[in-house]
Amino acid sequence: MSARRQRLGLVFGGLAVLCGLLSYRMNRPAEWLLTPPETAGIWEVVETPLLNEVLQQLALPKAMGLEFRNPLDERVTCQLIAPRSFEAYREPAPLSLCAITAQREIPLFGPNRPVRAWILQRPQTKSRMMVFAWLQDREGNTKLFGTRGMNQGILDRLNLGYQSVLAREAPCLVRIFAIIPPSDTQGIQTRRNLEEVAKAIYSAGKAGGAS
Amino acid sequence: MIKSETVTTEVKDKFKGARALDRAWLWILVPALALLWNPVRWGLVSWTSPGSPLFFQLFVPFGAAYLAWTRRDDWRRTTAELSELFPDPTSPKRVGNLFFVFAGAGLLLLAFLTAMPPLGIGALWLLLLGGIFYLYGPFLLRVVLAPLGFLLLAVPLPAGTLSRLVNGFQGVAASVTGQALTLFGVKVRILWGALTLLSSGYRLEITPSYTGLGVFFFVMVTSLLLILLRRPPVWKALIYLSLTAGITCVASILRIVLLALVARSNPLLATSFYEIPALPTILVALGLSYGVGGRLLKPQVREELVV
Repeated sequence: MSARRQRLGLVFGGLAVLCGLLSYRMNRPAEWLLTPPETAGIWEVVETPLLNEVLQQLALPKAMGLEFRNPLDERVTCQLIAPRSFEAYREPAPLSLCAITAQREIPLFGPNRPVRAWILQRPQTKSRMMVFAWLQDREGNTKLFGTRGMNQGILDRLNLGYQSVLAREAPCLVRIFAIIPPSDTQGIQTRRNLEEVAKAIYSAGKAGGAS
Repeated sequence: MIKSETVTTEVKDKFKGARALDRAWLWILVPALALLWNPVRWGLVSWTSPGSPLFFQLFVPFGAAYLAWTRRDDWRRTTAELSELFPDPTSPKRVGNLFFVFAGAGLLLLAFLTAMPPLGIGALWLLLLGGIFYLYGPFLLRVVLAPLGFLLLAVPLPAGTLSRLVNGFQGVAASVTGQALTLFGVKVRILWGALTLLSSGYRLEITPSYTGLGVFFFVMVTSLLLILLRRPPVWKALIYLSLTAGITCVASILRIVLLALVARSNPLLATSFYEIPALPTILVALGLSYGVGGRLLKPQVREELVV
Protein backbone atom coordinates (compact mmCIF):
# COMPACT_ATOMS: atom_id res chain seq x y z
CA MET A 1 0.00 0.00 0.00
CA SER A 2 2.85 2.36 0.88
CA ALA A 3 4.42 1.85 -2.56
CA ARG A 4 1.08 2.63 -4.20
CA ARG A 5 0.81 5.84 -2.16
CA GLN A 6 4.28 6.84 -3.26
CA ARG A 7 3.41 6.12 -6.88
CA LEU A 8 0.24 8.16 -6.61
CA GLY A 9 2.20 10.93 -4.88
CA LEU A 10 4.71 10.93 -7.73
CA VAL A 11 1.91 11.25 -10.29
CA PHE A 12 0.37 14.13 -8.30
CA GLY A 13 3.81 15.73 -7.86
CA GLY A 14 4.56 15.53 -11.58
CA LEU A 15 1.17 16.99 -12.36
CA ALA A 16 1.70 19.81 -9.83
CA VAL A 17 5.05 20.69 -11.45
CA LEU A 18 3.46 20.66 -14.92
CA CYS A 19 0.58 22.86 -13.72
CA GLY A 20 3.08 25.23 -12.08
CA LEU A 21 5.01 25.56 -15.33
CA LEU A 22 1.82 26.13 -17.33
CA SER A 23 0.71 28.72 -14.79
CA TYR A 24 4.06 30.50 -14.99
CA ARG A 25 4.06 30.54 -18.80
CA MET A 26 0.49 31.79 -18.94
CA ASN A 27 0.98 34.48 -16.28
CA ARG A 28 4.13 35.80 -17.95
CA PRO A 29 2.29 38.25 -20.21
CA ALA A 30 0.30 39.59 -17.27
CA GLU A 31 2.66 42.44 -16.42
CA TRP A 32 3.51 44.20 -19.68
CA LEU A 33 1.51 47.15 -21.01
CA LEU A 34 2.70 49.13 -24.00
CA THR A 35 3.52 52.78 -23.38
CA PRO A 36 0.72 54.99 -24.68
CA PRO A 37 1.47 58.25 -26.53
CA GLU A 38 1.29 61.51 -24.59
CA THR A 39 -0.33 63.29 -27.52
CA ALA A 40 -1.33 62.14 -30.98
CA GLY A 41 -1.32 65.00 -33.50
CA ILE A 42 -4.38 67.06 -32.75
CA TRP A 43 -5.56 64.51 -30.22
CA GLU A 44 -5.25 65.20 -26.51
CA VAL A 45 -4.83 62.11 -24.32
CA VAL A 46 -6.69 61.93 -21.01
CA GLU A 47 -6.24 58.99 -18.66
CA THR A 48 -9.64 57.50 -17.77
CA PRO A 49 -9.20 54.38 -15.59
CA LEU A 50 -11.37 51.41 -16.48
CA LEU A 51 -14.42 50.96 -14.28
CA ASN A 52 -14.15 48.43 -11.49
CA GLU A 53 -17.05 46.41 -12.96
CA VAL A 54 -15.23 46.19 -16.29
CA LEU A 55 -12.01 45.05 -14.59
CA GLN A 56 -13.91 42.40 -12.68
CA GLN A 57 -15.43 41.09 -15.90
CA LEU A 58 -11.91 40.73 -17.25
CA ALA A 59 -10.64 38.89 -14.13
CA LEU A 60 -8.75 41.94 -12.80
CA PRO A 61 -5.88 42.30 -15.31
CA LYS A 62 -3.28 45.07 -15.30
CA ALA A 63 -4.99 47.64 -17.50
CA MET A 64 -5.03 51.28 -18.54
CA GLY A 65 -7.88 53.36 -19.91
CA LEU A 66 -7.36 56.43 -22.11
CA GLU A 67 -9.58 58.84 -23.94
CA PHE A 68 -8.38 60.69 -27.02
CA ARG A 69 -10.15 64.02 -27.62
CA ASN A 70 -9.72 66.35 -30.58
CA PRO A 71 -10.61 70.06 -30.83
CA LEU A 72 -13.97 69.15 -32.42
CA ASP A 73 -14.76 67.20 -29.22
CA GLU A 74 -14.70 63.90 -31.06
CA ARG A 75 -13.68 61.11 -28.72
CA VAL A 76 -11.95 57.76 -29.09
CA THR A 77 -11.82 55.45 -26.09
CA CYS A 78 -8.80 53.20 -25.65
CA GLN A 79 -8.25 50.18 -23.41
CA LEU A 80 -4.78 48.68 -22.92
CA ILE A 81 -4.88 45.30 -21.20
CA ALA A 82 -2.17 42.84 -20.18
CA PRO A 83 -4.07 39.56 -20.59
CA ARG A 84 -3.60 37.39 -17.49
CA SER A 85 -6.07 34.73 -18.55
CA PHE A 86 -8.69 34.05 -21.17
CA GLU A 87 -11.15 36.24 -19.31
CA ALA A 88 -9.10 39.31 -20.21
CA TYR A 89 -9.94 38.73 -23.88
CA ARG A 90 -13.66 39.02 -23.22
CA GLU A 91 -15.40 42.10 -24.45
CA PRO A 92 -16.61 44.15 -21.51
CA ALA A 93 -20.33 44.74 -21.08
CA PRO A 94 -21.09 47.83 -23.20
CA LEU A 95 -19.49 46.22 -26.27
CA SER A 96 -20.57 42.64 -25.69
CA LEU A 97 -24.22 43.71 -25.53
CA CYS A 98 -24.08 45.12 -29.06
CA ALA A 99 -24.88 43.16 -32.21
CA ILE A 100 -22.18 42.90 -34.85
CA THR A 101 -23.06 44.33 -38.25
CA ALA A 102 -19.66 44.19 -39.98
CA GLN A 103 -16.25 42.67 -39.34
CA ARG A 104 -13.00 43.12 -41.27
CA GLU A 105 -9.30 42.47 -40.95
CA ILE A 106 -7.28 45.56 -41.90
CA PRO A 107 -3.46 45.52 -42.42
CA LEU A 108 -3.26 48.94 -40.78
CA PHE A 109 0.39 48.93 -39.71
CA GLY A 110 1.80 47.21 -42.78
CA PRO A 111 1.65 43.72 -44.28
CA ASN A 112 1.22 40.93 -41.68
CA ARG A 113 0.42 43.51 -39.02
CA PRO A 114 -3.35 43.45 -38.96
CA VAL A 115 -6.04 44.82 -36.69
CA ARG A 116 -9.60 43.59 -36.49
CA ALA A 117 -12.35 46.14 -37.13
CA TRP A 118 -16.00 45.81 -36.20
CA ILE A 119 -19.12 47.86 -36.49
CA LEU A 120 -21.49 47.20 -33.62
CA GLN A 121 -25.06 48.27 -33.12
CA ARG A 122 -26.80 48.69 -29.81
CA PRO A 123 -29.87 46.47 -29.57
CA GLN A 124 -33.16 48.12 -30.53
CA THR A 125 -31.46 51.40 -31.39
CA LYS A 126 -29.72 52.90 -34.40
CA SER A 127 -26.69 53.85 -32.34
CA ARG A 128 -23.52 52.37 -33.91
CA MET A 129 -19.98 51.99 -32.74
CA MET A 130 -16.70 51.26 -34.53
CA VAL A 131 -14.08 49.13 -32.78
CA PHE A 132 -10.45 48.28 -33.64
CA ALA A 133 -8.61 45.63 -31.63
CA TRP A 134 -5.28 43.85 -31.86
CA LEU A 135 -2.52 42.24 -29.83
CA GLN A 136 0.85 43.97 -30.00
CA ASP A 137 4.23 42.86 -28.68
CA ARG A 138 7.36 44.89 -27.89
CA GLU A 139 8.73 44.32 -31.38
CA GLY A 140 5.67 45.89 -32.95
CA ASN A 141 4.23 42.62 -34.25
CA THR A 142 0.47 42.52 -34.16
CA LYS A 143 -1.95 39.64 -34.31
CA LEU A 144 -5.64 39.05 -33.91
CA PHE A 145 -7.19 37.14 -31.04
CA GLY A 146 -10.24 35.39 -32.35
CA THR A 147 -13.44 36.60 -33.85
CA ARG A 148 -15.66 38.98 -31.99
CA GLY A 149 -18.37 37.30 -29.94
CA MET A 150 -16.12 34.38 -29.09
CA ASN A 151 -18.75 33.34 -26.59
CA GLN A 152 -15.95 31.81 -24.58
CA GLY A 153 -16.02 28.62 -26.65
CA ILE A 154 -13.74 25.93 -25.30
CA LEU A 155 -11.74 25.68 -28.56
CA ASP A 156 -11.09 29.44 -28.59
CA ARG A 157 -10.00 29.23 -24.99
CA LEU A 158 -7.78 26.24 -25.65
CA ASN A 159 -6.16 27.92 -28.63
CA LEU A 160 -5.46 31.09 -26.66
CA GLY A 161 -4.06 29.13 -23.71
CA TYR A 162 -1.85 27.12 -26.04
CA GLN A 163 -0.66 30.28 -27.82
CA SER A 164 0.19 32.02 -24.56
CA VAL A 165 2.23 29.01 -23.40
CA LEU A 166 4.19 28.98 -26.66
CA ALA A 167 4.45 32.76 -27.11
CA ARG A 168 7.95 34.19 -26.83
CA GLU A 169 6.85 37.79 -26.40
CA ALA A 170 4.26 39.10 -23.98
CA PRO A 171 1.43 40.78 -25.90
CA CYS A 172 -0.66 43.78 -24.93
CA LEU A 173 -4.30 43.82 -25.92
CA VAL A 174 -5.31 47.13 -27.47
CA ARG A 175 -8.96 47.97 -28.03
CA ILE A 176 -10.09 51.37 -29.30
CA PHE A 177 -13.63 52.38 -30.11
CA ALA A 178 -15.78 55.38 -30.91
CA ILE A 179 -19.47 56.04 -31.40
CA ILE A 180 -20.39 56.70 -35.03
CA PRO A 181 -22.35 59.97 -35.03
CA PRO A 182 -25.64 59.97 -37.01
CA SER A 183 -24.17 62.58 -39.38
CA ASP A 184 -21.34 60.18 -40.36
CA THR A 185 -23.63 57.80 -42.23
CA GLN A 186 -20.80 55.87 -43.94
CA GLY A 187 -18.59 55.89 -40.83
CA ILE A 188 -15.75 57.45 -42.87
CA GLN A 189 -14.89 60.16 -40.35
CA THR A 190 -15.00 57.71 -37.43
CA ARG A 191 -12.74 55.29 -39.28
CA ARG A 192 -10.28 58.09 -40.03
CA ASN A 193 -10.23 59.03 -36.34
CA LEU A 194 -9.70 55.46 -35.20
CA GLU A 195 -6.90 54.94 -37.73
CA GLU A 196 -5.09 58.09 -36.58
CA VAL A 197 -5.31 57.07 -32.94
CA ALA A 198 -4.41 53.42 -33.69
CA LYS A 199 -1.29 54.48 -35.59
CA ALA A 200 -0.23 56.79 -32.76
CA ILE A 201 -0.67 54.02 -30.17
CA TYR A 202 1.15 51.51 -32.37
CA SER A 203 4.14 53.81 -32.96
CA ALA A 204 4.42 54.79 -29.29
CA GLY A 205 4.17 51.16 -28.19
CA LYS A 206 6.78 50.04 -30.71
CA ALA A 207 9.23 52.77 -29.73
CA GLY A 208 8.46 52.69 -25.98
CA GLY A 209 8.29 49.31 -24.29
CA ALA A 210 7.77 48.41 -20.69
CA SER A 211 5.72 50.54 -18.32
CA MET B 1 4.37 -12.30 33.26
CA ILE B 2 5.21 -9.73 30.57
CA LYS B 3 8.41 -7.84 31.04
CA SER B 4 8.21 -4.05 30.88
CA GLU B 5 11.00 -3.97 28.24
CA THR B 6 8.94 -6.10 25.85
CA VAL B 7 5.95 -3.77 26.27
CA THR B 8 8.11 -0.71 25.61
CA THR B 9 9.54 -2.28 22.43
CA GLU B 10 6.04 -3.13 21.19
CA VAL B 11 4.82 0.40 21.83
CA LYS B 12 7.90 1.82 20.05
CA ASP B 13 7.31 -0.46 17.06
CA LYS B 14 3.68 0.62 16.87
CA PHE B 15 4.70 4.27 17.13
CA LYS B 16 7.27 3.78 14.34
CA GLY B 17 4.59 2.13 12.22
CA ALA B 18 2.25 5.08 12.72
CA ARG B 19 4.97 7.56 11.78
CA ALA B 20 5.84 5.56 8.66
CA LEU B 21 2.13 5.61 7.77
CA ASP B 22 2.00 9.40 8.17
CA ARG B 23 5.10 9.86 6.02
CA ALA B 24 3.56 7.73 3.28
CA TRP B 25 0.53 10.03 3.29
CA LEU B 26 2.79 13.07 2.95
CA TRP B 27 3.78 11.76 -0.48
CA ILE B 28 0.20 12.38 -1.55
CA LEU B 29 -0.81 15.33 0.63
CA VAL B 30 1.97 17.75 -0.32
CA PRO B 31 1.51 17.58 -4.13
CA ALA B 32 -2.28 17.41 -3.66
CA LEU B 33 -2.18 20.75 -1.78
CA ALA B 34 -0.08 22.24 -4.59
CA LEU B 35 -2.64 20.99 -7.13
CA LEU B 36 -5.48 22.59 -5.17
CA TRP B 37 -3.99 26.08 -5.32
CA ASN B 38 -5.00 27.42 -8.74
CA PRO B 39 -8.43 25.78 -9.24
CA VAL B 40 -9.54 26.79 -5.74
CA ARG B 41 -8.30 30.34 -6.38
CA TRP B 42 -10.41 30.47 -9.56
CA GLY B 43 -13.40 29.03 -7.73
CA LEU B 44 -13.09 31.53 -4.87
CA VAL B 45 -13.75 34.38 -7.31
CA SER B 46 -17.22 33.04 -8.11
CA TRP B 47 -17.95 31.78 -4.57
CA THR B 48 -17.11 34.96 -2.72
CA SER B 49 -18.16 37.71 -5.13
CA PRO B 50 -20.93 39.85 -3.55
CA GLY B 51 -24.44 38.47 -4.17
CA SER B 52 -23.08 35.30 -5.79
CA PRO B 53 -25.67 32.51 -5.81
CA LEU B 54 -22.81 30.00 -5.62
CA PHE B 55 -21.62 30.95 -2.12
CA PHE B 56 -23.05 27.64 -0.86
CA GLN B 57 -20.20 25.84 -2.63
CA LEU B 58 -17.77 27.04 0.05
CA PHE B 59 -19.56 24.79 2.56
CA VAL B 60 -19.89 21.72 0.34
CA PRO B 61 -16.42 20.24 1.14
CA PHE B 62 -17.21 20.43 4.87
CA GLY B 63 -20.56 18.70 4.31
CA ALA B 64 -18.86 16.00 2.23
CA ALA B 65 -16.19 15.52 4.90
CA TYR B 66 -18.86 15.13 7.61
CA LEU B 67 -20.78 12.68 5.42
CA ALA B 68 -17.60 10.64 4.89
CA TRP B 69 -16.99 10.67 8.65
CA THR B 70 -20.44 9.21 9.30
CA ARG B 71 -19.62 6.34 6.95
CA ARG B 72 -16.45 5.32 8.83
CA ASP B 73 -18.02 2.16 10.31
CA ASP B 74 -19.12 1.01 6.83
CA TRP B 75 -15.56 1.65 5.63
CA ARG B 76 -14.02 -0.40 8.48
CA ARG B 77 -16.50 -3.23 8.03
CA THR B 78 -15.99 -3.40 4.26
CA THR B 79 -12.18 -3.30 4.68
CA ALA B 80 -12.33 -6.21 7.13
CA GLU B 81 -14.66 -8.19 4.85
CA LEU B 82 -12.44 -7.58 1.82
CA SER B 83 -9.29 -8.65 3.73
CA GLU B 84 -11.04 -11.84 4.70
CA LEU B 85 -12.49 -12.62 1.28
CA PHE B 86 -9.46 -11.53 -0.78
CA PRO B 87 -6.30 -11.98 1.34
CA ASP B 88 -4.02 -10.86 -1.50
CA PRO B 89 -3.63 -7.07 -1.02
CA THR B 90 -2.95 -6.61 -4.76
CA SER B 91 -6.22 -8.28 -5.76
CA PRO B 92 -8.22 -6.11 -8.20
CA LYS B 93 -11.04 -6.21 -5.64
CA ARG B 94 -8.85 -4.36 -3.12
CA VAL B 95 -6.94 -1.93 -5.36
CA GLY B 96 -7.65 -0.18 -8.66
CA ASN B 97 -5.71 1.29 -11.55
CA LEU B 98 -4.67 4.84 -12.42
CA PHE B 99 -7.27 5.40 -15.15
CA PHE B 100 -9.34 8.03 -13.30
CA VAL B 101 -6.19 9.75 -12.00
CA PHE B 102 -4.88 10.20 -15.54
CA ALA B 103 -8.31 11.31 -16.75
CA GLY B 104 -8.37 13.92 -13.94
CA ALA B 105 -4.81 15.00 -14.79
CA GLY B 106 -5.76 15.50 -18.45
CA LEU B 107 -8.82 17.50 -17.45
CA LEU B 108 -6.74 19.65 -15.08
CA LEU B 109 -4.25 20.50 -17.83
CA LEU B 110 -7.17 21.38 -20.10
CA ALA B 111 -8.57 23.56 -17.31
CA PHE B 112 -5.26 25.43 -17.05
CA LEU B 113 -5.08 26.05 -20.79
CA THR B 114 -8.69 27.21 -21.00
CA ALA B 115 -8.80 29.01 -17.59
CA MET B 116 -12.21 27.46 -16.86
CA PRO B 117 -13.00 27.12 -13.12
CA PRO B 118 -15.68 24.41 -13.58
CA LEU B 119 -13.18 22.22 -15.42
CA GLY B 120 -10.50 22.85 -12.77
CA ILE B 121 -12.70 21.92 -9.81
CA GLY B 122 -14.19 19.00 -11.78
CA ALA B 123 -10.65 17.75 -12.46
CA LEU B 124 -9.78 17.92 -8.75
CA TRP B 125 -12.88 15.88 -8.00
CA LEU B 126 -11.89 13.28 -10.58
CA LEU B 127 -8.36 13.13 -9.12
CA LEU B 128 -9.79 12.50 -5.64
CA LEU B 129 -12.09 9.77 -6.97
CA GLY B 130 -9.20 8.30 -8.98
CA GLY B 131 -6.89 8.38 -5.93
CA ILE B 132 -9.41 6.49 -3.78
CA PHE B 133 -10.04 3.99 -6.58
CA TYR B 134 -6.33 3.42 -7.11
CA LEU B 135 -5.53 2.91 -3.42
CA TYR B 136 -8.63 1.08 -2.21
CA GLY B 137 -10.36 -0.46 -5.21
CA PRO B 138 -13.98 -0.45 -6.39
CA PHE B 139 -15.71 -1.77 -3.25
CA LEU B 140 -14.37 0.83 -0.84
CA LEU B 141 -14.95 3.51 -3.47
CA ARG B 142 -18.61 2.52 -3.43
CA VAL B 143 -18.72 3.11 0.35
CA VAL B 144 -17.72 6.77 -0.09
CA LEU B 145 -19.63 7.32 -3.32
CA ALA B 146 -22.35 9.37 -1.58
CA PRO B 147 -19.90 11.88 -0.01
CA LEU B 148 -18.03 12.03 -3.31
CA GLY B 149 -21.27 12.64 -5.19
CA PHE B 150 -22.15 15.40 -2.74
CA LEU B 151 -18.70 16.94 -3.24
CA LEU B 152 -19.52 17.24 -6.95
CA LEU B 153 -21.84 20.09 -5.95
CA ALA B 154 -18.71 22.21 -5.35
CA VAL B 155 -18.09 22.38 -9.12
CA PRO B 156 -19.10 25.93 -10.18
CA LEU B 157 -21.76 26.24 -12.84
CA PRO B 158 -20.52 27.60 -16.18
CA ALA B 159 -20.92 31.39 -16.33
CA GLY B 160 -23.45 31.22 -19.20
CA THR B 161 -25.71 28.70 -17.42
CA LEU B 162 -25.57 30.67 -14.20
CA SER B 163 -26.39 33.89 -15.99
CA ARG B 164 -29.42 32.27 -17.69
CA LEU B 165 -30.59 30.90 -14.33
CA VAL B 166 -30.24 34.30 -12.65
CA ASN B 167 -32.18 35.96 -15.49
CA GLY B 168 -34.90 33.31 -15.29
CA PHE B 169 -35.26 33.65 -11.51
CA GLN B 170 -35.20 37.43 -11.87
CA GLY B 171 -38.11 37.42 -14.31
CA VAL B 172 -40.17 34.92 -12.29
CA ALA B 173 -39.47 36.71 -8.98
CA ALA B 174 -40.51 40.08 -10.45
CA SER B 175 -43.67 38.67 -11.98
CA VAL B 176 -44.78 36.65 -8.91
CA THR B 177 -43.99 39.54 -6.56
CA GLY B 178 -46.01 41.88 -8.77
CA GLN B 179 -49.01 39.54 -8.59
CA ALA B 180 -48.60 39.09 -4.81
CA LEU B 181 -48.48 42.85 -4.33
CA THR B 182 -51.74 43.36 -6.25
CA LEU B 183 -53.37 41.15 -3.60
CA PHE B 184 -52.33 43.80 -1.06
CA GLY B 185 -53.69 46.54 -3.29
CA VAL B 186 -50.22 47.78 -4.29
CA LYS B 187 -50.02 48.73 -7.96
CA VAL B 188 -46.67 48.16 -9.60
CA ARG B 189 -45.05 48.41 -13.01
CA ILE B 190 -42.65 45.61 -13.92
CA LEU B 191 -39.84 46.29 -16.36
CA TRP B 192 -36.71 44.18 -16.90
CA GLY B 193 -36.66 42.59 -13.46
CA ALA B 194 -37.37 45.84 -11.65
CA LEU B 195 -40.59 46.77 -9.86
CA THR B 196 -41.74 50.36 -9.63
CA LEU B 197 -44.41 51.20 -7.07
CA LEU B 198 -46.88 53.48 -8.84
CA SER B 199 -47.93 55.19 -5.59
CA SER B 200 -44.50 56.33 -4.38
CA GLY B 201 -42.36 55.83 -7.50
CA TYR B 202 -40.00 53.65 -5.46
CA ARG B 203 -37.96 51.41 -7.76
CA LEU B 204 -37.21 47.97 -6.38
CA GLU B 205 -34.58 46.24 -8.46
CA ILE B 206 -34.46 42.44 -8.32
CA THR B 207 -30.68 42.06 -8.17
CA PRO B 208 -29.07 38.58 -8.34
CA SER B 209 -29.13 38.55 -4.53
CA TYR B 210 -32.88 39.27 -4.52
CA THR B 211 -33.74 36.59 -7.09
CA GLY B 212 -33.59 34.01 -4.29
CA LEU B 213 -31.33 31.73 -6.35
CA GLY B 214 -28.59 31.79 -3.68
CA VAL B 215 -31.12 30.96 -0.94
CA PHE B 216 -32.60 28.21 -3.13
CA PHE B 217 -29.23 26.58 -3.80
CA PHE B 218 -28.07 26.81 -0.17
CA VAL B 219 -31.22 25.34 1.36
CA MET B 220 -31.60 22.63 -1.30
CA VAL B 221 -28.00 21.51 -0.81
CA THR B 222 -28.46 21.43 2.98
CA SER B 223 -31.60 19.35 2.49
CA LEU B 224 -29.70 16.98 0.22
CA LEU B 225 -27.08 16.59 2.96
CA LEU B 226 -29.83 15.73 5.45
CA ILE B 227 -31.23 13.15 3.02
CA LEU B 228 -27.81 11.55 2.56
CA LEU B 229 -27.33 11.44 6.33
CA ARG B 230 -30.74 9.94 7.11
CA ARG B 231 -30.96 7.73 4.00
CA PRO B 232 -34.79 7.74 3.68
CA PRO B 233 -36.72 5.92 0.90
CA VAL B 234 -36.56 7.69 -2.48
CA TRP B 235 -40.22 8.79 -2.42
CA LYS B 236 -39.77 10.47 0.95
CA ALA B 237 -36.60 12.19 -0.25
CA LEU B 238 -38.39 13.51 -3.34
CA ILE B 239 -41.33 14.82 -1.29
CA TYR B 240 -38.90 16.50 1.12
CA LEU B 241 -36.93 18.13 -1.71
CA SER B 242 -40.16 19.40 -3.33
CA LEU B 243 -41.37 20.86 -0.03
CA THR B 244 -37.99 22.50 0.56
CA ALA B 245 -38.03 24.02 -2.94
CA GLY B 246 -41.49 25.45 -2.23
CA ILE B 247 -40.43 26.83 1.16
CA THR B 248 -37.35 28.60 -0.25
CA CYS B 249 -39.31 30.12 -3.14
CA VAL B 250 -42.04 31.42 -0.82
CA ALA B 251 -39.46 32.78 1.65
CA SER B 252 -37.59 34.62 -1.12
CA ILE B 253 -40.79 36.11 -2.57
CA LEU B 254 -41.94 37.16 0.92
CA ARG B 255 -38.65 39.00 1.39
CA ILE B 256 -39.35 41.16 -1.68
CA VAL B 257 -43.05 41.58 -0.89
CA LEU B 258 -42.26 42.77 2.64
CA LEU B 259 -39.72 45.22 1.28
CA ALA B 260 -42.25 46.56 -1.22
CA LEU B 261 -44.86 46.94 1.52
CA VAL B 262 -42.38 48.90 3.63
CA ALA B 263 -41.49 50.99 0.57
CA ARG B 264 -45.17 51.87 0.05
CA SER B 265 -45.37 53.62 3.40
CA ASN B 266 -41.73 54.62 3.97
CA PRO B 267 -39.40 54.56 0.91
CA LEU B 268 -36.46 55.85 2.98
CA LEU B 269 -36.71 52.95 5.43
CA ALA B 270 -37.04 50.52 2.51
CA THR B 271 -33.78 51.86 1.06
CA SER B 272 -32.03 50.93 4.32
CA PHE B 273 -33.77 47.52 4.45
CA TYR B 274 -32.69 46.87 0.86
CA GLU B 275 -29.07 46.61 2.01
CA ILE B 276 -29.82 43.78 4.47
CA PRO B 277 -28.26 40.58 3.11
CA ALA B 278 -30.22 37.40 2.42
CA LEU B 279 -29.03 35.75 5.66
CA PRO B 280 -32.35 36.15 7.59
CA THR B 281 -34.23 34.61 4.63
CA ILE B 282 -31.77 31.72 4.56
CA LEU B 283 -32.19 31.13 8.30
CA VAL B 284 -36.00 31.16 8.05
CA ALA B 285 -36.04 28.82 5.04
CA LEU B 286 -33.43 26.57 6.62
CA GLY B 287 -35.34 26.40 9.93
CA LEU B 288 -38.61 25.54 8.19
CA SER B 289 -36.94 23.02 5.91
CA TYR B 290 -35.15 21.35 8.84
CA GLY B 291 -38.42 21.26 10.81
CA VAL B 292 -40.16 19.47 7.93
CA GLY B 293 -37.15 17.20 7.41
CA GLY B 294 -37.00 16.31 11.10
CA ARG B 295 -40.58 15.00 10.95
CA LEU B 296 -40.52 13.48 7.48
CA LEU B 297 -37.09 11.86 7.54
CA LYS B 298 -37.11 10.36 11.03
CA PRO B 299 -34.41 7.64 11.23
CA GLN B 300 -35.92 4.16 11.07
CA VAL B 301 -35.63 2.39 14.45
CA ARG B 302 -35.13 -1.32 13.92
CA GLU B 303 -36.88 -3.61 16.36
CA GLU B 304 -34.43 -6.11 17.72
CA LEU B 305 -35.48 -9.59 18.66
CA VAL B 306 -34.76 -10.45 22.24
CA VAL B 307 -34.21 -14.15 22.67
